[in-house]
Amino acid sequence: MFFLAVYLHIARGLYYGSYKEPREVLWMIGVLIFLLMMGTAFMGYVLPWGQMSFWGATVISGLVTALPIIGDPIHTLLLGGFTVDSPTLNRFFALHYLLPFVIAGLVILHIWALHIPGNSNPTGVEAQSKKDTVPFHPYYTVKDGFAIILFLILFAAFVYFNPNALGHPDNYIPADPLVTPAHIVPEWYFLPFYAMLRAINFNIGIPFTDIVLINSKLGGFLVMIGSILIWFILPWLDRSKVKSMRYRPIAKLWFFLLVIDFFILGWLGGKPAEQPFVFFSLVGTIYYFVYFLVILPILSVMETPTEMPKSISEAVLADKKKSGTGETPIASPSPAE
Amino acid sequence: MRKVLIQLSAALAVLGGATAVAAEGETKPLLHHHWHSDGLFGEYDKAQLQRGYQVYREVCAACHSMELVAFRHLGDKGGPYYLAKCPEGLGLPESTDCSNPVQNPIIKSLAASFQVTDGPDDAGDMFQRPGLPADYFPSPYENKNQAKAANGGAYPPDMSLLAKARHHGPSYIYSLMLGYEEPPATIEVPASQYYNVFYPGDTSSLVKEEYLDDHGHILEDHELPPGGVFKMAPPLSEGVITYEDGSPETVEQYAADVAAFLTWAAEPKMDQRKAQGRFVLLFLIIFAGIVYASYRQIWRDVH
Repeated sequence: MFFLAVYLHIARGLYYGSYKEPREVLWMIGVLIFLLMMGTAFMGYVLPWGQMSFWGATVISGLVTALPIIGDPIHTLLLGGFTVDSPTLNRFFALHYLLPFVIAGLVILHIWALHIPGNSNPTGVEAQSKKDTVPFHPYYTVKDGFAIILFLILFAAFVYFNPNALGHPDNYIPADPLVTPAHIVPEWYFLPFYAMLRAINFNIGIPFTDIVLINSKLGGFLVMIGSILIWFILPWLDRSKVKSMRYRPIAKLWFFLLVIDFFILGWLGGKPAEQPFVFFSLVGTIYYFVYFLVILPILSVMETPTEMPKSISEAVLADKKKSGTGETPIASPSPAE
Repeated sequence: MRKVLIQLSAALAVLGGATAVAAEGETKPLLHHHWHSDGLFGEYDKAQLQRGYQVYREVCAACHSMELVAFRHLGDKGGPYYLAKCPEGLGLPESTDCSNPVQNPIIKSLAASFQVTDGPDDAGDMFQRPGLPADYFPSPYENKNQAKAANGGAYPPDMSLLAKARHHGPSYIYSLMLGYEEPPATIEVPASQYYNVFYPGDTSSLVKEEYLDDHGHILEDHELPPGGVFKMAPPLSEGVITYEDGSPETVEQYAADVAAFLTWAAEPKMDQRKAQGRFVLLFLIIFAGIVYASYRQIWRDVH
């Protein structure tokens, strides 16, 4: 559930351009938090020591062996041996409780980094006067409070009425190093990245020779890691002066395509590694990178944004006039984390 | 509220289906059975759990262990032999609390009907004694290797969590019990193995030679039979177990009962969980309404 909230939060940041100057540091701390969350969640999944735990750990920790030279020593160090075994469980348990403290520390930094430039907002126009903002309490405590309760309802529905919905039945079978499950599937929140990992099933080498520069394993690993690391340089990939995609009609289109792409990748990640799923994963992966590396940089030069309001209050008042009622403020300052 | 709940559960069903990726080979679609424990208000049917336990004890327990279940669990709230009040006429002392499984007379005599190994005693020897409510179900084999040796190399899985360890566990168990069909003419079933249309195996390696083309695929005008073969002989047949409550002694009934019992074993606290969940959801929905009202009230004058 935490991942669901975080994915929404990241998507919102991408859409409203919250990563742009002056909030690069805020964004990068956020990406770090996400990476640590993935690590913590993965290690937590190993702790029940069921079949999926064991084989998930085997597959994912095996990824580092793809790195040349340093890969194998890192792998041994991480596992405390040559295969996943009790020392691995011991280590992962220690890290699983250690990392949340690191995350908590980063969250404090995340909020600190937020308080320097202040909140962004759906219009992407910086707040200029008192007129543009409202106090956090009571306005945002009550609005966020309502959202939290709605979220708790969804959470309670899972906990009480379908606790096994997001798990895998194989994890109710105790870990057995001699029996491999038919399909090794990660938890749902890793599926899009897992699809990218499996999409690279070919070696990259010098054409017309047998020399392999990057084998498929390393390639998949790089793509998976790169898909998140690319977020770090996002503030410099998207040079558009306009923050919010509300005023960027073309970028908006590509953005929603990216969201759909991410969902499709998630679905593909849960499918067995066979054709045509792998091919579609590759297409999805290519689009994912093209969006960040090609579309955004080009659009920031090419696109003509629509007219922007001069201030937040102006945008809100215009909305009010349009809808006629103006009861629900739409373009209000976005809440703190 | 009910509508919201229905929508929520529909959404959950979709989510559940999305993660439950069909693994292994093609099988026939599982048989649908309506479980008493399904749905928002579904609870276990005590009489069915008792029959299911009987099926387990008299048939399954010959090969399958249930290491995580103790006799006392059978007397827990929601379990097959839970007693809210002590039955009259047994001459039990007044201080007996039969809702406590350790004092439950059914559980006590049930446990005592098994012999368990205990020890070591003062001389360092292991000894046999009648079971107590706190003892776990005795396993049919000493260890995994013995179990394998006795079953032609296949390990009969522990049944404690079986209903959760398979996709659509209860329906799978129910279907598997009813899925022993005559193998189609296209495949050759090896000796001491059995064909089952719901078993997630692969029949492509069993196709008889006369039905194969040059590439080792099955001929075009034949279909690969669903399911697979495994080493469990059909365990149930009509009338093998005598029910005391007059329920039909058919394979369908046995299969449904034992599947219900294994569902309970895998989720013994489901009844309490759902009861608490209904309360929590109701509370949260009312609370959400109140907070929404105050949100509208506070934001009314903004702009």
